[in-house]
Amino acid sequence: MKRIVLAKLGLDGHDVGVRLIGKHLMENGFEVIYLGKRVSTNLIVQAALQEDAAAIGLSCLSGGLGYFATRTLDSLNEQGADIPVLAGGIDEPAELEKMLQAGVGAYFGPGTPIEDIVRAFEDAIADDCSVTPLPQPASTRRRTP
Amino acid sequence: MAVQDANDGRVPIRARYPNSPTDEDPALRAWSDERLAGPGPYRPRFMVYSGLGSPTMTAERLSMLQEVGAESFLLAADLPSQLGFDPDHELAHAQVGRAGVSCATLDDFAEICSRLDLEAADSVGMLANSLGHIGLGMVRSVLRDRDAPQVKVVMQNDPLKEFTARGTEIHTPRQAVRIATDCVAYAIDDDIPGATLTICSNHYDVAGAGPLLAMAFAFGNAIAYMDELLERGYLATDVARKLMFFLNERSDLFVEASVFRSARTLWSEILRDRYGVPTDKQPVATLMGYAHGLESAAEPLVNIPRVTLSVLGSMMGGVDYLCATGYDEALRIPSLDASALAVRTMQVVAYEHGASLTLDPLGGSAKTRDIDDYVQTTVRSELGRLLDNGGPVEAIENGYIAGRIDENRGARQKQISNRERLMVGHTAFEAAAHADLFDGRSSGEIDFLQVEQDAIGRMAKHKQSRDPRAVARSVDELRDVAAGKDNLLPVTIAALRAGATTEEIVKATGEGFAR
Repeated sequence: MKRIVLAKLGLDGHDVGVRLIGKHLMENGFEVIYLGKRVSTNLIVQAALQEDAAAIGLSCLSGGLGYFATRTLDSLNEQGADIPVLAGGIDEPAELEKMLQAGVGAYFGPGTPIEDIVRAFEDAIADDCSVTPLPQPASTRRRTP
Repeated sequence: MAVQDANDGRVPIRARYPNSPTDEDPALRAWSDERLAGPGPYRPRFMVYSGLGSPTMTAERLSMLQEVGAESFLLAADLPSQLGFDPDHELAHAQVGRAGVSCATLDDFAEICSRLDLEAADSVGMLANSLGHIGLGMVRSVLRDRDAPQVKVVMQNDPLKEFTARGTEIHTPRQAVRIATDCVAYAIDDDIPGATLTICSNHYDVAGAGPLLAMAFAFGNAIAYMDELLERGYLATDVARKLMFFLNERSDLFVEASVFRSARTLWSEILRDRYGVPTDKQPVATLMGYAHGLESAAEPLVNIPRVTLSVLGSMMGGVDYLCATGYDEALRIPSLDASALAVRTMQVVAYEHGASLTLDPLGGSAKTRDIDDYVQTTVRSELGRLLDNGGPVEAIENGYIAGRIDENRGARQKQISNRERLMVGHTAFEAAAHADLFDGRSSGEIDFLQVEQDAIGRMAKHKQSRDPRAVARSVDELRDVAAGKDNLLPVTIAALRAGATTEEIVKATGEGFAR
């Protein structure tokens, strides 16, 4: 069974989406290891290597998605690990563009259908990263008192 | 009874109508008696939830909003500050100053408040849900230093909801209750005016629970905090005076009003039946709201009438402290014009069109009676189920609360997708080609990378300028107190004054708890 490591980046605590994705990945035959919230990039890379992950899924809605996802990818490259990284959440368009150029396999904005996300993981693991949904405008609220 | 007729037809308008539920329901009667002792219009305090970028930027914005008429200032701190990560921590990157202001030291908070006229302010506070001792410590210290004991505090220091609805939990649920109740105990002991603990239903609603289940969970949390404080020997009436309830409903004007007025009735029942406080001895509940609609990112200006209707709904329900959403909040932290317009929106509803001349203006209508019955019956029943499932703390640990939120999640989206609810400009009267007519002036105003660099620089300077031995001593003492049972506030304030940062205090608190 193919194993996928999921994690929340930075300090964002909104993990409804990533948990939902994990549930759908499991229903589609993957084994999922969710590392939780506020996970450092080092820990994500260590976990992916130890668990022989087939792919890594990263989520952040509060800023820093592009930065932390790129950092994770760089760290994997330094370790000589060729594990696809997919990312979802909200960030500035320029940060998302840089992240995709750096080699992050796919980006999912708010509202992306879950089936598309599951298919993107399947494609990425099959070494076919042709599914790359375009960045969508942030339409979810980020804070409330 | 106050009557006025300053309308074009000289129609007499009463401040309260006799033989209505306002007159008959004990909680509504007590509340309206208290309000009638002062002059109308019967409007809430105009509150702003604001904070962005650096402390200096936030000070400028708060000052401007005060000049426009804001009276209560609830500080929005950024995520690192809310979670106890200083701006130089790895995980804080790209989040410094974004969802709120970077506030990691007592100096930061003093700078944030530096341009507020505290003679004119009603209240000052901040969001510090999982580090309430630090937030209250900062607010208390600055109000003391500015010799402003009359200014009330408005602290959002309700950690239990974080575990299932908002996600900034730091310690365990039981440790979280210790921190929150230490804050209330300190406020009672030191006679600090205002709300030291704002108990929130809002975030449960937004997380997917819907407004009624959310209200039941909030009352459940109130019971958890009350029980702990009574266990420590405090009186229920003293505790109740330090609480405020933050309620929410953003889809129906009349249900929104009912949520507020029903909260008074339900909380009064809880005080009477669970804590044995007769109705005539109960403090009148303080209620807070945050006016929202179903905001659109595509046509931001159209959010203004949506928010106006929500302001009206909560004011008709009898809200005491109100914030209003900026029209561009679906896009970004509200820009300056949006923040000011939100204050003006509340003022117009408070002072024009007779919207706030009468207390509880919907009381007595057949529609309100029916909605009230449903709201109150549902909340009572859901609160009963929560208590049957172990009560608020155990229900976090056994998954009951998360499960109930999951069951309800997505209901709003489904109603919109099925077109049971229409949204102008999206599912009705769509005119995408003309969306630019509704843009407004909202724009990103801040260079966040510069804000982060400045915050890191400020932190380095701060650490160089303080006495490291005094910091170490104060943090050691805090750790010891956290390991025991004494109140955390005095040692937290001492640590802040010695120059300890939020991250250092959070770390020491956790280490003490773990002993």
